[in-house]
Formats: sequence, C-alpha cells, structure tokens
Amino acid sequence: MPRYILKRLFAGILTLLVLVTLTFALMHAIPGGPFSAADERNVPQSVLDKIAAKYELDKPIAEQYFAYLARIASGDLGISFKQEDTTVNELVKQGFPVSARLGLVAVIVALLFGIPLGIASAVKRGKWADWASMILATIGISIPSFVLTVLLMYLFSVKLRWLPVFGLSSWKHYILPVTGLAVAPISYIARLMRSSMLEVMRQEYIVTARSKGLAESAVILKHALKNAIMPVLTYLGPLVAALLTGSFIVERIFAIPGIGRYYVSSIGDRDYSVILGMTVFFGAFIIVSNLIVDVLCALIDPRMKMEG
Amino acid sequence: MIEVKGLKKHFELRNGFFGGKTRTLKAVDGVSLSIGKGETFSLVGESGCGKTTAARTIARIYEPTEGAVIYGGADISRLGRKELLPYRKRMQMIFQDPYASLDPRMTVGEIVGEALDIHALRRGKDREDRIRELVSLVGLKSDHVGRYPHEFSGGQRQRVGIARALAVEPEFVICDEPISALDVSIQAQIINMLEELQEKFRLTYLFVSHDLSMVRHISRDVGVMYLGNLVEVAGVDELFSGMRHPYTKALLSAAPIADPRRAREASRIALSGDVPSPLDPPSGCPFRTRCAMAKGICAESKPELKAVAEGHLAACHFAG
Amino acid sequence: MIAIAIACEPKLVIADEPTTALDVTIQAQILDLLRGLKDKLETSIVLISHDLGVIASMCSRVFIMYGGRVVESGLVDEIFYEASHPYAWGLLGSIPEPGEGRRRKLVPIPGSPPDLMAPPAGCAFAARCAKAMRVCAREQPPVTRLSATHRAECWLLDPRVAKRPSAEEAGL
Repeated sequence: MPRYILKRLFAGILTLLVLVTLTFALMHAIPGGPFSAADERNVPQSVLDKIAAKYELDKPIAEQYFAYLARIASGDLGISFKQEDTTVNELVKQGFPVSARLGLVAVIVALLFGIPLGIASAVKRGKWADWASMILATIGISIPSFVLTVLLMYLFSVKLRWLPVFGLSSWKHYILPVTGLAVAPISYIARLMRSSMLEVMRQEYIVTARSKGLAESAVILKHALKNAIMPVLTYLGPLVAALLTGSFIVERIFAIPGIGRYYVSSIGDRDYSVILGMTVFFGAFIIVSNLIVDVLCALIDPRMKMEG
Repeated sequence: MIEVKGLKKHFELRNGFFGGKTRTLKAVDGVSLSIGKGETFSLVGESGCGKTTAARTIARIYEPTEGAVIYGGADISRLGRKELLPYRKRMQMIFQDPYASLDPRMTVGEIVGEALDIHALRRGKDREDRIRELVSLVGLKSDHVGRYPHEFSGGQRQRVGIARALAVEPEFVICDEPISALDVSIQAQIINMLEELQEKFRLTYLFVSHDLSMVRHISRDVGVMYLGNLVEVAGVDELFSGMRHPYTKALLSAAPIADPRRAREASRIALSGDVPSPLDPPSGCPFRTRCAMAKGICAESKPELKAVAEGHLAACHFAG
Repeated sequence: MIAIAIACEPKLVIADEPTTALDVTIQAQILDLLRGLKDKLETSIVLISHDLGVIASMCSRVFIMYGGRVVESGLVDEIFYEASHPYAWGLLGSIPEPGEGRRRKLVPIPGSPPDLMAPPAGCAFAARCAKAMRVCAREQPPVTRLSATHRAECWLLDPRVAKRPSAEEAGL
C-alpha cells in the first residue's frame, strides 16, 4: 500500500510538471503580455524595460521557466503582475476557504440527494417514480449551471425575495449557490447509482440473500448498496476537486469571493503568474483528491489489490 | 417429504415504453414431482428448459404462478415472508456460480453468520464456534473465516456456499448446477462432499444439472424437462436403461461417453432444429416439432405425464 | 464461427473448447460437424477440451497437460485404458464411470493446480500426487517411452524406481 501511494504521488508530480510546462508554453505563445495594455498610455520604453526587468520578463524563456519551476518546488506560486504586492499564495489563502466551504456543502448535498434518488429509482424500476426521477436527472445534467443559477436567482431572490442575491454571510446565502453547484452532480450521481444498483440487484448473491430469508429492505441496504456505491465513490474524486476549487460561474453570479473568481479575472488581465500559480494549485488538488478516493476505494473493496 | 403439484411459473414480458403489450413466457408450465427424505431427485434438460426456474420457484425465490409446493404437510407456495421464514430455514439453495452467489464484500464468517442471524440461531461465542464448525465441515481451514470470497479458488468458494446453506441445518437442499462452473478434478471433490453430507445429515437433494453422467452418479430419481414441461420421470437406472420419451432418448444418446471403445460403438439419435421459443410454444406436445415419431395427435393434444411402468412416468402419446 | 474457420479449407483446425458452453444436443451437432470436416476434407483437428467424454469420442491421439507441460501422450485407447501418469489417473477417477455398471465413489484429485507464477522445482503435480516421492519435488521427471506412441513424464516410470504401480492399484 505505501509503495502504491508513493508510486501514485510520483506519477502525480510528473503530471503536474507536464501541466506547468504546457501552461507556461501556452501563456508565452499568446501574443501580448500583462503590460502590453500600457502601450496605449504611451509609457516610455525605458519604463517598460524596467517593469520587465522587475518581473524578470526580459530573461530568456528557458531561464524564466526554470526559475519558475524552482519557485514552485519551494511552495511559492509567484507574485501577481497586476495586483501590487499580492502573492498567488495569498490569493489562494483568501479564496480557497470560501470556495471549499461552499463546495463541501454542495458535495454533501449532492450525495444526500443523489444516492437515495438513484436507489429509489432502481428499486422502483419501470414505475412512475423511476421515470420521474430519471427525467429530472436528465434535465439536471443537460441544463447548464449558469442558466439554472440565473433562473433560480431571478425566481427566489428577485421575484419572491425569499433569498439574498449575493454574498455568503448567512445560511440563507448558501441555498442558491449550493443548489446551482449541486444539481448537476445530484443528477449524475442518481443515474450512476441507479445503473450500478440495477447491475448489482441482478447478481446471484442478491438471490442468495433473499433465499436466506432476509427482508427486502435488508437485502437492498446490506448487500446491494454496499456493492453498488463503488462507482459513486470513484466519481467523488473529480467531483470534490471540481467543487472545492470553486466554480467560475456560480462564484461570479453570486459575487462570492472564492478562488474561482480570481482565476477568471486573472485570465482577463493576462496575469501570467496568477494563471500559472492557480493552475498548479488546481492540478495538485485534483491529483491529490483522486489519489485519496482511490485509496479509500481500495480500503472499502477487499477485491482491489494495491499493486503498482 | 416434498411434493410439487402442477407448478407453473410464467413471466410477463413488457415490451416498449410505459408497459405496452405484454407477452407471457411460460418458463415452467406444469411440473409435478415428489422427493422422499434423504433422497436425491435430479432435474435434467438443456438450457432454457426451465429446470433452474422450477428449482427457484420451489425455493420460493420466484413466486409461483400456479400450483402447490407441499412441504411437511403444508402448502408453502402462498405463504408470506414471515410465515415462510421457518421453511426457509429447512430449505436451502446452493448456486451454480460460487463466485457470483457470494457477496464480494463480506468475509466467509459474515456470509455464514448472516444465515444464523436471520433465523436467530446462535449468539456470541456459540455463534463463532458454529461458524468454525461449519467451515471445517466443508473442508476449509478455520483461518479462512476472515477471508473474502475472491481469495478462494472456485472449488473453495463452492464449499463456502455449501457451508452457508448448511448453517441453518436444513433438511432439503436445492443444488442448482453446483459443479458446472468447476474444473473436472474439483467437481469430484464437491460431489463427494455433497454425498458425504447427505449421508451424515440425511439431507434431501433436488439436484439441477445438465451433466448426465453426474446425474446418473448422484441421483435416485431423475426428471427430464423440455420447454417448461417434465417429459419423463423415473428411477435413475430405469431411466438410463429404459427411457421411453423420444426426447430423453435423443438427450441421453447425445451425451459423450468417456470411454473410447464404447463411444465408437454408440449410435446417436440426431435432433434437428432448435428448441422452440417458450414465448410461443407449439400446440399439443412441446417436443413434436423436433420429434421423429410425431403424428397428427401430437399437435392436437398435449400428452399427460402418465405411468408407463412401475415408478416410471412419461409424457408421450406413444410411450406406452 | 466454424464456417469462418473452414472457409478456406484449411489443413489444420484448432478448436479451443468448442463445445464447453453448449448443451449436449448442440454439442453433438458441433462434434458431428467437426467429424465431417475431418472425414471429408481430411482436415487435422487440434481439440482443446477438459471434457473426457468429448475427447473419448472425437480424438485419435491425446496429450494431457498439467502445469504447462505435456505429462502424458498417446493414442486415445492408451490414455483411457493404460494411463500411466498419476494425473491421468486423477482425471479419469474424477468422473463417474461411463455407461452402466455399479456406482463407484469418485476419486478426486486433492488440492488445486499450482501457481505458474512460482512453479515448483520438480514435477508440477507432486504436491497433489498420492504417489509422490522425494525426487518428485526436486527434479523434473524424464520422459519415458511406453510404446511407439505412448509417452509419460513421471518418476514412477523411471527404471530406477523399484516397483511400478499400475492403474488398477490407483483404484481404477
């Protein structure tokens, strides 16, 4: 097991390196730079040179690249080009807890609704409850979250005035953003759970359990659920990573000062170091959360063996 | 000890969305048999003949459409879950695929123990002792109790399945193709064990198999099924030497003989065509579409399963 | 499947467990087809099977494999009536006696096949063999020629072993 984790960590670092290199190369391939907008204001070339020198943009690209790698390795994600005296680490420290709290609530809500919905659907297969929940789930997956969020906001905040429009200062503030974030995962989990459950219910050991004289509810909870939950757990890795690192759209719509918002604005500003730094942070987070979920799955499923 | 009367199991197949037309699949269409205590009755036939469905309907895994299952004097075919529970304890099943029939996320101890818990048989240390006793009864080591099914070979898994079935001290065990997923050398281990257990606990077996040589080895009586119907029932020696139904003749002659000299001499009755669909069975005798002896009467009336000799029943107009 | 295999009238057909998943009547049809192929087109057939009944009724020569090696080979009658390797005895003892006759107790082979990732040093069958000697676990047995067509790999057949047990003694 420790060998496996080490191996995965090593692979993760390699992935990160590729990610950094690609993002770095792409950033530099795009015409224009963080200070090119300054041209319009007729800033003297000498000043531009000085700025470039300050942020080491005058050095050869290879040198910039290795200097950047060295800094990342020491845990420093760089400083912002645009916001004076702000480091990327500080942006992450400010934004991440906000995004993570919102994301965590969304993950819990998604599991709390998605799993029972999927089970109910599988147990009542072909009945109206199944049809209804699967139609809802399909709608949930296909409506883009920005459309849904704006609709919800219009209905509950603007028309009915039940819920606040933006910010995150009370539990009421959480309802709309969490709904916006959780609807798609709920739908996905419900469908995943349903198909996995149907698969498991066909298995012979379910027949065995019934022939032992076990009540149907015990058959479902004790034998079927335990075996059917695996795909949902696997999906949890990317889901947690995606929701905890903040949603660009939902955070923007509700003006939530999360990490996603910084990311979006840094792209608009061509703030290289913030884009790069955040990409590295997201990448590392996704890699680690996938690893944790895989290890969890292995601990739960006795059949999975940790072999490299 | 157990008597099955006119057992039918029909499945309603729905096609299309929201119900639509339903068609009836007559998987088991009138099966009657009786098994005495300590005896082995085998159901044989080809895949799709309904032998597994018949066994599962007797075990009340499927709800019977029609007919009665008389067990210890009571008809158990209509009992609810609660009333059925004591009969579940007396009647257990062993399944074909020893891997699929064991919950992969439970240890052997949990699998065997669950059966004890459902029927509230043993508690605490007594329960642990009983699990160990069962595990050693089927030839596994006591340290196997904490292992998961995937850590065992096919034969060992089937032993776990047997330990699970025997946990509640049943009288009647339904073995649904218990050896067909196993290697030849392992099959013999399991068959020997089933025979020893039968002797030791006076178990009654309903043995479902398509392996005619094993059926001949283990059974006292044999019932041959075709398209949901029992076409012939007789004592094992009577059946293998004096079969009356043309399907039985074809089936037995098709089984390869593991003896080169006799195999060279053997003649085979070839069957043409395929088994008709149980969704749309032929009128009259179910076998008439493939039968060389079929006459007009075979399409008109379905032959009853009737005695053709002492303890020998056949469902054929020309079997007498 | 068979049509594809014989489309270009091959000289050799390799049939890997061709009837394992089939019912006996369908199996009989497939075996008839293979027999016809052999007789009409003079095709040679390599039949891979664990079904001794199929082998007895189809084959002229038989190779018995265990742990990745051919442990015994010979004409079909030599294998079924003069088997010399304990594994062959085990296989024949595991199935009910063919045809009529009294019911004899099955003689299974104890244990399970060896792990080929870590094959044993000597004879692969030694661990499950009732007649195993010390040498069996240490060294691979040599091939013994029992007739022009019959060969087996077993230390029991080695001339240095004093008494050679027979198939009758093995309970067959």
